[in-house]
Amino acid sequence: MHRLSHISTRSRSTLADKLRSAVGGSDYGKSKQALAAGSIAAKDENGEDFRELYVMPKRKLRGQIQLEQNTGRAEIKTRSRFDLMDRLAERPPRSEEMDPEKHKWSDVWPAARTFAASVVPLPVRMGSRPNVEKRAPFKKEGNLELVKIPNFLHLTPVAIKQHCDAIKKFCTPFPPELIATPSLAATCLPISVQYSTYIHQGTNIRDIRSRVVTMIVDVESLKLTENAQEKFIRLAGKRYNKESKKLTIITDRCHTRKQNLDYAHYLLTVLYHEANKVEQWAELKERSDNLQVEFEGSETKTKLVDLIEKAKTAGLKPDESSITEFGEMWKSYRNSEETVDKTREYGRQMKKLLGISGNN
Amino acid sequence: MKPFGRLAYTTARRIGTCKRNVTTSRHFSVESNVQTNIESGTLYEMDLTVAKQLNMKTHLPSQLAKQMDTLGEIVTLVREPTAEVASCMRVVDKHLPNLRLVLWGAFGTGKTVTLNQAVHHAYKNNWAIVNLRSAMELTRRVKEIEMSSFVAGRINDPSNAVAILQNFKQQNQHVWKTLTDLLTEKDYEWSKSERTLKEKPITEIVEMGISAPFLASDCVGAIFRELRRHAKNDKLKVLVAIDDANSLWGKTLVKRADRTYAPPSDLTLVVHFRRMIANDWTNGCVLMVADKKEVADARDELEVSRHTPLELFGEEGFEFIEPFVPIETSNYTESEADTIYNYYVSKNWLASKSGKHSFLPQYILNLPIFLARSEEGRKQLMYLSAFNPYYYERLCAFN
Amino acid sequence: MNNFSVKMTTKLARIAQKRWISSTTSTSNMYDPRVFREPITDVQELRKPLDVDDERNFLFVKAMKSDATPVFYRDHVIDKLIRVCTKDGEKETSRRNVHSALEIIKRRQYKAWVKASDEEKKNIELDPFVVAKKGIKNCHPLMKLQGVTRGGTTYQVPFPIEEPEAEFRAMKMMRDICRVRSKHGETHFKDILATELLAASQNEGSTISAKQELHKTCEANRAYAHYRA
Repeated sequence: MHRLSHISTRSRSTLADKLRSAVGGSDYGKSKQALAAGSIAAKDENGEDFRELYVMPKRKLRGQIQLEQNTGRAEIKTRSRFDLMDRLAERPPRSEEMDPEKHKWSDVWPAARTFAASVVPLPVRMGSRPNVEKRAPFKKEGNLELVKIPNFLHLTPVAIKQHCDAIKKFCTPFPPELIATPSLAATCLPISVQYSTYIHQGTNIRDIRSRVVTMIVDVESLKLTENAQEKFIRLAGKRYNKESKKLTIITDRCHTRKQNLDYAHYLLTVLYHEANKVEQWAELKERSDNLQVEFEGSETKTKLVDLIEKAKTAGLKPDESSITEFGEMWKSYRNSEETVDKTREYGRQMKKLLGISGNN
Repeated sequence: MKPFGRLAYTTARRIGTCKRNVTTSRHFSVESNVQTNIESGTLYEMDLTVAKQLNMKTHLPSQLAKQMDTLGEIVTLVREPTAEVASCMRVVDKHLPNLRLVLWGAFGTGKTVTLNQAVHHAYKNNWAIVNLRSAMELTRRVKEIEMSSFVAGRINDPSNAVAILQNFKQQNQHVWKTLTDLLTEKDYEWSKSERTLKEKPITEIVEMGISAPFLASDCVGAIFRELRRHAKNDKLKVLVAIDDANSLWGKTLVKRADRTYAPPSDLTLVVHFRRMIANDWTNGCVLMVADKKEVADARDELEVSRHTPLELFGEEGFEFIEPFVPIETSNYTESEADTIYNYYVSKNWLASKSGKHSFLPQYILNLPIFLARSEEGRKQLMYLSAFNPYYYERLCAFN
Repeated sequence: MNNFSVKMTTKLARIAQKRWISSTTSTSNMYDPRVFREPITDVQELRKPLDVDDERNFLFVKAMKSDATPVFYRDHVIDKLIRVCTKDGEKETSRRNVHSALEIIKRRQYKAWVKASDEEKKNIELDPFVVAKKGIKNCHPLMKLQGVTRGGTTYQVPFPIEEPEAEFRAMKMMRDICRVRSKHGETHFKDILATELLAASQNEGSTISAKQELHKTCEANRAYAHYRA
């Protein structure tokens, strides 16, 4: 509040007018009175002027002002700051004030953060334009594209090294034997577990894919019997790869990675034990239930043997010794993809077996 | 048939040694009982009257049947597969169970043609012939059906059965006398009134079937049975030639009373043919063609089927026909294409821009590019058709 | 090729000015003319190596059209006939039909040739391409009728005709006649086309009579010829 405000308020009061007229004489306030009275220009019978009754000063009283202030209804006149001009004076961006000797980048940018042009000291440009030759991409100041894309400025090699150094004391070294002989891993470590961790540029560290666990087991190492292995393969279904002889279990049915890993281990255990069990109804298995068509015990073999026998009496010269070779070829023919070459091989072997030559 | 050996057509592999004067020394024997060599790489002619008897017009692919009409002769190229089939047929013996051969190969490589050449070869050697134009006719083009009275659940096909019997009669005219001498084993009671007695010629069964369509399917079964029996007793040799044989284990379009499609094993004719293929009889040869027609679907734009036997016959069919000898048919070699080319030139069939038009000057006509009969034309025919026999013939047809 | 096309366009432009034939050429081309060149369609040219300085070493080549391939049976008339008979963009079907028609012509001619005596043999043309060409040539109309509207009435005025258009009109007449006849599925298009071509080469058949009808109408409308300008 202005120091002289009370004077200005007071100077407008009617008492003040009275004082002035008392000091200045009767003609001092007359014109004023006349103005103030307006229509009341009458003097009373004694020739004295109208004396206005003093009820209240024409201003907000102190108490009222205080009440208003206390209840928060006061009109607050805003006034500019005294240091406003200093504040508005332009300042260079932070990137220019950084000194590589004195400051560490990992302190400036410790965590993932949206791109800030004033902080990053690199002269990065980004933007497309119709004619590539005519102008350069847009500069980093006010560039929304740079803001939209993820940046990994918090993951400089130095910063990563710092993290690693901090964690190192909790780690053990990688076995040198495994580095020396890579094939050792296949024999000594038949189970391999794979999972992924996902990093994000934003504030959210979670990714739903990180709970997926892939477990690859070398089935040979389980040392199952012939029947148990067949049962194992049937139970595993599509999870078993016959070329590489590996079982792959991919789980993501639980919420956390740990739970999924436990589930994978559980599945392996169950498969193993179930494979070793022999059920009563397994005795009902027939030739048509086999996973692969076998030459031994097939109708083809019996017919072929019969044909060879009769061919001898007919005067042909069948080659009986090649029947085992034929059997192997037949098995691969029936159990794998049929190709033109395989069919030709079949024809060649059949002719050789029966003793029929090409062109007589 | 006397081979072409007088000219230098010995092996099909030698390129460029084939001479072009084909017209003069082509031979065909009329009635020869001698089993002679069939050399691959030679042209093989079938006498027209014989061809008519063997019903070649319906059995050959339609384009070659038209050639028969236009050129007045049937000349086909003898290739590797025919030679192989002929050598297998030579091996047939009364002690040997029937030899099953399966012709397989890509489209247009000569499976049906080889089959017909084999039928002609069998005719030459006085074999009995059982020839089916296409097993698909039995499973897919069935006009009317009858339920069998012989076996419950079986479906008879009178029109196809009559056609088979008529075809059999026509094709076996050369051995009809021999067939008439063969006698039935037992009494055949076709129905309450019709019967064929024991010790009657088996040709009567054929006649019976042709005259009475409703009995025809059973007659087919009976005649096949008799043929098998007499073949076993070394009275005659039988060639069973079935085109599109893999359809016998394929899809049917015959609907049963409950509106489901009947499996092929419910059709009597299919059953009879399967029995002919079964190797419980001797002294015969079964020649089958594995054709993609059965499996390929024109509306399926994603899948392309293989042309190999296991794929086409299916597991059930494959196990039935085993053990068999697969014989592959393939595209032309350059010398084979040359032989055909020379044949067409000699017959004046390749006529494109051969100098007969009046409005082009001679120097333009002589330009190599313009002549189908030129070196350029010869080479282009081979490469445009990609050495595929079917497409080669199609290109030569309009040029 | 470029020179040829330039010549064609100027000649065409001159004729177009007289408004006797259509002046609309294809003005827009998806191929960038700075980057693409025409393919070589002649086999002998193809076999020769390209000149080292030839610009085609450094430029792209346009795709070759299916009826410009350098096969030995390439024929302008037959290719045009295939294009004219194409329906719904199914050129393959049209090609099959026309080639089957050629085959049928060849078969019929061959049969006749086999039966003929030695003198007659010389007159029988076995080449179906020659027969078809002759047939189409015989069907070329010499004039065409175009509607010219004067005072509310459209008069059919006879106009002169260029070779390519005459060829097209002949093929179109034949195609329409064959389509109408093969509509009911009893006979195939290829059979009817073969009959027509064979008859036309002997100056017989419906297409020839249609052409003659056209000539008669032109002759009858001779009086309107002054409406041409």
